[in-house]
Amino acid sequence: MTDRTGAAAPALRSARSTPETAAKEGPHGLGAASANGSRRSWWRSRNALGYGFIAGPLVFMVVVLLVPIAYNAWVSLHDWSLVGTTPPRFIGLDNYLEIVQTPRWRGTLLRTAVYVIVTVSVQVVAGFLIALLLHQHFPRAKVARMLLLLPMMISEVVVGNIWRLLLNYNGGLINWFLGLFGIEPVFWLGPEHAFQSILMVDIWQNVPFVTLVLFAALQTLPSELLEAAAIDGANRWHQVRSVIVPMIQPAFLLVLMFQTMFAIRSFSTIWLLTEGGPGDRTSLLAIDVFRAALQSYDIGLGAALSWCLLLLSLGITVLYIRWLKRDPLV
Amino acid sequence: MKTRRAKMHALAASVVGTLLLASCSAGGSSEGDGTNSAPAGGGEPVTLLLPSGNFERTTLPMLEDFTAETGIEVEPIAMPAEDARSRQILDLTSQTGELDLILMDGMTWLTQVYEHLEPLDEPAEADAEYLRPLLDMFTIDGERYASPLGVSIRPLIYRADIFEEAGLEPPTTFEEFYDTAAQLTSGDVYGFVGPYGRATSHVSIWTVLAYNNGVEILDEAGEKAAFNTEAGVEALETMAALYRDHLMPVDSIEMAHDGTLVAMQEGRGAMTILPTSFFLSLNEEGSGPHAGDFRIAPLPVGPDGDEPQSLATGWGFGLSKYSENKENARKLLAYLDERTIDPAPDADTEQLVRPVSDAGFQHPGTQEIFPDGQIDLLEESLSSARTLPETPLWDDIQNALGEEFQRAYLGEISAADAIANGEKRVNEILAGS
Repeated sequence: MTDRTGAAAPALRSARSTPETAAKEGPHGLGAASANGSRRSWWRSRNALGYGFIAGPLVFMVVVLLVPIAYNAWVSLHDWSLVGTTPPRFIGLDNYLEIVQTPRWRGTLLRTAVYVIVTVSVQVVAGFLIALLLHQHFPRAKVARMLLLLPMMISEVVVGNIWRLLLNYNGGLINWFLGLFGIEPVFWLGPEHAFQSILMVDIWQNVPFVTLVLFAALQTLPSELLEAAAIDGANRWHQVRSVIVPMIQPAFLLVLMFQTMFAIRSFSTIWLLTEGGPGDRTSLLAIDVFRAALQSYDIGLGAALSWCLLLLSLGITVLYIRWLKRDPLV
Repeated sequence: MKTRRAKMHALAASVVGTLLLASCSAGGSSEGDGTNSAPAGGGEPVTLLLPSGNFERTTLPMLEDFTAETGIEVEPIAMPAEDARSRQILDLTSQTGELDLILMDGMTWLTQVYEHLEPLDEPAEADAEYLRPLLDMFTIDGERYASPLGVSIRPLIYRADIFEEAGLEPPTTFEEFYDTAAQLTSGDVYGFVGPYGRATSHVSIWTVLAYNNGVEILDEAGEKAAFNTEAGVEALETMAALYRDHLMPVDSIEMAHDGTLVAMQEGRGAMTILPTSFFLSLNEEGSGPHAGDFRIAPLPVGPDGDEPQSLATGWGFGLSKYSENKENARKLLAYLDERTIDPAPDADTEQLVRPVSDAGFQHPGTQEIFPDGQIDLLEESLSSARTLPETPLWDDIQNALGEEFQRAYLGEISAADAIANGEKRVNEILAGS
């Protein structure tokens, strides 16, 4: 009986050999066996099947992600309005120069930077403290954890509407509450407090995510380490600083990266609360992208602004990843 | 070998899955490519967008009646007005033909999209029935692109009970406007409430006040700003002084139309400037403790102005050049013309609050909404109404002015500086085009 995988194969391979390869292979077809072996090893070493599996999704990603991004870059080099009769005009980097040179856009970039730094810092610190608290054993701990995660589960649109009602100057719940103590109503979404208000709402909504990730990281810490530190005389603060924080550093970097990207792209909640106003006091990069592209229909400028958004996110992500790679624990 | 075959099957399944995923993501585009299943008897459905809210409530019953009478299906998609506008512009500029009818808000939207629309047949029989200025609102270079479905003006809306108690008459000049607001501001009631939070609202108010002070916004060619005059500054200063001097609620700076409406319903303001379409929501029974107390009056006139003028804005449907269902779409337009010109005896009050024809003004329902001769004031105002400047760049201009004006309301810069900054930015926008 012929071995289906072995014995009949050389004959087949010989039949497929070209005169040139046959000459190289020699009279006994040994070269053919060796070439076949190398093909096989190529197939195996390169994990061709694996590549086959990812080829489809890769093509899909190129079509739905990279092509639009590249097209967006092309659009950003044009003076291109969706309305009116003027055809698109190639202007090189003028849109980018306008963003850098115009005080209004510079203000937006600065405001976005402040927003990102403040929200991410507070979220990480508050999230870590809450995670430490949740890590303790206390009655109804599970209920407390669930309640603390609630803001993360609410959609941004709902969050925006809830906070709009809460912060309403006339009849909002917070001002009503302050009124009980004889405090004058505060115009939370007015010119003086609008920026702080959107910071507060963003922090409120995103702290649970940080808490969740850091709490999960804390759960993986071997208790022996902390016990050993305690025996060595480390107090709680020293344990946190010298044992816990270094051990869960990868988790910190992860939340820093995610929260920074979320903060740079913040849009829905702010739009619902203030629409970027009053004036431009709460106008961040994502709000201006929307305004330029879908309110003024200046898609050239909108595309350039969205590239700034992308480059900022990308730059920070690369920095974090580099930092992450330097960590010996990763 | 079996393992290998299993792997190949898995690979094939992966490829098929990916293709399916890809086709799902592209699924939206097949909607308007003429592959819709046609309803029995009526041919292709007519697709259109509607702004959510009052206009949607008024229009939907008419669309249902149209389907019942003709068998032609209509597919209305309701969404917030701003979203509808973006979606329409994207649909027209990419020439998908997904939407058969295009909704337009007076001059602003029309100037942006008219090159993508079919001009309507002229002269249509129905045209004689419409108020002429309202037809002009949808006409560019002699071609009409839509019929007015519902038009509003922005009059002065005031609380008659407060005015009566104070022994005051509605103000007729800028000066009287400020003085009246000052006299009526007391405790929780402010002399004036205005939508100073959204550029589309407060720049429109300034525009009509500027018209009433003899100011043109753009020059005749529409190539330069023409509003940086003493009269233009005066119109803005009138608005800014009201906020700066606390004759308006502090949260007016974040209010849009709906916020202003609620403030008036709650009794926080004695006067406001809102489109007449909101008048019903103020006076309708059950709408608030002061329902029935609201009246309309002409807007005050500035020292350089002549007669009070009004600013007309409204909705109308145009026909997409890329529609593959033009015949049915035209039938629907004709039907809507008919229903709008001559409202049914039991027509919805939301429709009657925006009359566009003589028959509409004579309708008992309309007379009831605007009692005591106010209907004559409305008709007169509509007959001589003006529109926003005819430029496709109005959105950009409006946003730029809105930002500068808000700074003036907040006292960061003077009205003169806001107007000067606005002029600079508007000229840049116009030059860039």
